[in-house]
Amino acid sequence: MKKIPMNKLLETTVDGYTFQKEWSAKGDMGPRGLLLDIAMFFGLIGPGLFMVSHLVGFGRGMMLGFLTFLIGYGLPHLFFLGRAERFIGAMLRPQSSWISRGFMFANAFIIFGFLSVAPLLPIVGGSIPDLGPAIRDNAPPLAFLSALLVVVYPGFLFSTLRAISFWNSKLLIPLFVILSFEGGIALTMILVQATGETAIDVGPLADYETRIILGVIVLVGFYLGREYGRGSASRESVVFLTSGRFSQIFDGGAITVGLVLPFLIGLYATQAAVSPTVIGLAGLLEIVGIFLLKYSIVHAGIYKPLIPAVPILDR
Amino acid sequence: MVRWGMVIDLTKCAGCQTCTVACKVENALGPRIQRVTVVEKEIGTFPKVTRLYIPKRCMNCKDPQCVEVCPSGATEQREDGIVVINKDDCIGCRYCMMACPYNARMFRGVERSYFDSPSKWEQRRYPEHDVGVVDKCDFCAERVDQGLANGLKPGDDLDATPFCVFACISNAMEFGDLDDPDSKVSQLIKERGGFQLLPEMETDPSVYYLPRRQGDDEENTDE
Repeated sequence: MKKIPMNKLLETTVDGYTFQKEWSAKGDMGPRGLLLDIAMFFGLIGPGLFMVSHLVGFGRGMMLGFLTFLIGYGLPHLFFLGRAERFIGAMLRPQSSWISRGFMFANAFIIFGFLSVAPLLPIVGGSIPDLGPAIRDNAPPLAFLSALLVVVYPGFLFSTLRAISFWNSKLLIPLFVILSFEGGIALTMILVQATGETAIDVGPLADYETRIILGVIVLVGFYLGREYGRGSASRESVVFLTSGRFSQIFDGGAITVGLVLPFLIGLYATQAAVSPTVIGLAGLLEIVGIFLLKYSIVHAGIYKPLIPAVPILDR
Repeated sequence: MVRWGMVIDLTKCAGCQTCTVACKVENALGPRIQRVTVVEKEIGTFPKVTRLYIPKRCMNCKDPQCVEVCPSGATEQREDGIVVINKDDCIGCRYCMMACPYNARMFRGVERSYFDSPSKWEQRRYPEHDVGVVDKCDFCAERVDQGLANGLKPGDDLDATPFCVFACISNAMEFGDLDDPDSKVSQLIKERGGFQLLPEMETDPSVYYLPRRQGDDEENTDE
């Protein structure tokens, strides 16, 4: 009689790999799960547009960034909740929950952002009385700070989850922040050109953008490489993204179309004259890429195998 | 202090799913809501093959990450260690589901019946549930509480014991106080080398598993 060798048993995964399905369109909420993907996307590019526009002094960009966040981030989140009428409960545990903290940051951005852009809003702008220099001067920097917090917290939201090892990485914090600025610059350049704004020189923005895209490519590569070597579940996530059934979205969409192509266009633009239309197209590709990258990371969340190393037989 | 916990003997579990069905009946759980699942897996290589049955549920961890991440405080831990969800406070964000290493929570999106029209049982029991909230095993906390109020001892008296333990046809499950070194569960863990799932998660689950003994695989491991 021979016992099954322990080393064989240790390699056995009992229930295999399980994808998270609730923060996607695969869960019990059906297509409503997609709302979270939409909210996460606008939660990056809205504040990004606001911050970049604030830095270059582009008022209409700040306004659009604020509205993008308000509508694209706030409403989908609300509709995603199982009990939307209890949404106020989301901010009751800031001492331990990143959802609570994020909710508070989002509220701060909504308040300070509104105070910053209210005079520019087409409907209500004219009817808002002057709130005085204290608010007029302090609201924009406070809105900038809260917008920064809004794009910082998703990284913590994901990286504190030990159960899903692909997300359990502090690299997600800088990655989401840099994606936000990438999207913000791309949208600012598109808007500046579309509105015929002449006071803002998009040249330096384009230079920054090329470097930021390169930074994103390096960061994503480093993140994937690190996760590939970090454990079986993380490796499974990386394989799922890069060579599995999701690779068309990730490799083809998020990386090639969303990062490599705009980077090459940006690089070419530093050497030769490129028409504004092409620059705008590159910006749009980046926006699509940001959505697909965030979407891919969320969908590649895999729980650690339940029983990777169980002493199934007595010693 | 009491800390309620469960011990599951992988030697005795026959994979019959009685615990699964018992839980669904006791708690009137509809389709897609299953607080207990029995994970099945063949291990080994022919002819040395055996099949494992591992009942899985909320581990009611001592250091639960679900409690930590819940933004509304709906998920909380009682003094006796049981992790409960206050359905009136849950906002349905599902962050707790992401945080649970055991994937033991489920979202109650809509209330369904098994067939086109709800049965009398479903009509009677389903209104007890809230929709748009998260659901999970709580060791039949109400049953335990009621039993204690009636002077019964959970684990020893079946009417004060989780219904799956009560219903298990192979006596594979035991329930009791993990903090009491003389309790049956503590003794079993000590004597049989009880182990927890995913200990590296540092959640200290209150469900322990007893490994299968060598002789159990005799038929499959003979040369």
